[in-house]
Amino acid sequence: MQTTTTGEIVIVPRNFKLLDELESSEKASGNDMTLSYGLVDPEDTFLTNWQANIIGPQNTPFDNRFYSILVTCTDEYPSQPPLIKFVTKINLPCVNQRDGKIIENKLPATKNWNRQMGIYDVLVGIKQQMSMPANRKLPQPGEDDQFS
Amino acid sequence: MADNLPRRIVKETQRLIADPVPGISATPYTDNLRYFGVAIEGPAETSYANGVFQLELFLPSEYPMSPPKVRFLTRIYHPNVDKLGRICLDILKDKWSPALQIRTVLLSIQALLSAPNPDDPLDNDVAAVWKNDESKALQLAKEWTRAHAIQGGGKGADDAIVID
Repeated sequence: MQTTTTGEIVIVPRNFKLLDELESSEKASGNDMTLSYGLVDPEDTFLTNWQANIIGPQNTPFDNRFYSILVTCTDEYPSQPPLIKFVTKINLPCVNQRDGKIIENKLPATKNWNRQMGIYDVLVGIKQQMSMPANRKLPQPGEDDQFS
Repeated sequence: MADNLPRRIVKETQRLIADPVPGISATPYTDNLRYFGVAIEGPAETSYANGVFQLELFLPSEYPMSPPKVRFLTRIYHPNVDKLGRICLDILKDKWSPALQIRTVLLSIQALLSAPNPDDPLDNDVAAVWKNDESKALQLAKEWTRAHAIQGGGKGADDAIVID
């Protein structure tokens, strides 16, 4: 949402916002190189299903581990945050241990979501959870384990 | 929101509806007057003939200093349109001028359907077929038109508003 000089509130429609997000993911300029994301199907006209990866932050139990994540942008995106599901097993309070899904109100990035945010911001938020002192003590599953 | 919509956009929209371009409809969504559902008829005597192609168009806050954003929602086999419907057209990029309008953009896209330009491709695979075997390319374009653009066959057809 942007406000012009005349006070008009400009709302970027879902599809054009997601096309912008795709472009910035491809350029990856100014982005954290340990985070990446792209479309699962490069011909997905409605840009619904995304695949993301996070490399765990250094000096944490997640250090150098490669986390595979599925991101779904529903028709309500970006009024609603994307749905996030870990494929790689991980033990974090914001991740449902049964299915790997992010528990929306336990992750600040999804809990305090607004429509200026994007997939990248949620990935940054997840990575911050990995660096939190309280989460560093959590026992972690084997590196290749996956949620079913 | 509508009260603050720039006068230029209001005028362009009124004219698009009152005096539409033949073969093209453009209608703003009621909840976002900068966002348009567009339908372009495939020009006669081209591989796109009898097809109706759905597009979406958005006027960013910088418009008209920046060009509209526009893409195909209906799948189309064309060397200047990529797999996500994005269009390679100079006036949508560096050749944009504030003197151009939504109307001129849509006319240019319609003209692009009549005159594909494989020398300035957005989809390299399609452009290669176009340059090496034009009759095969035209045949594929016709098949895609039949599969996606005729009688609401395209996935995008349900989402955009069409006026006849």
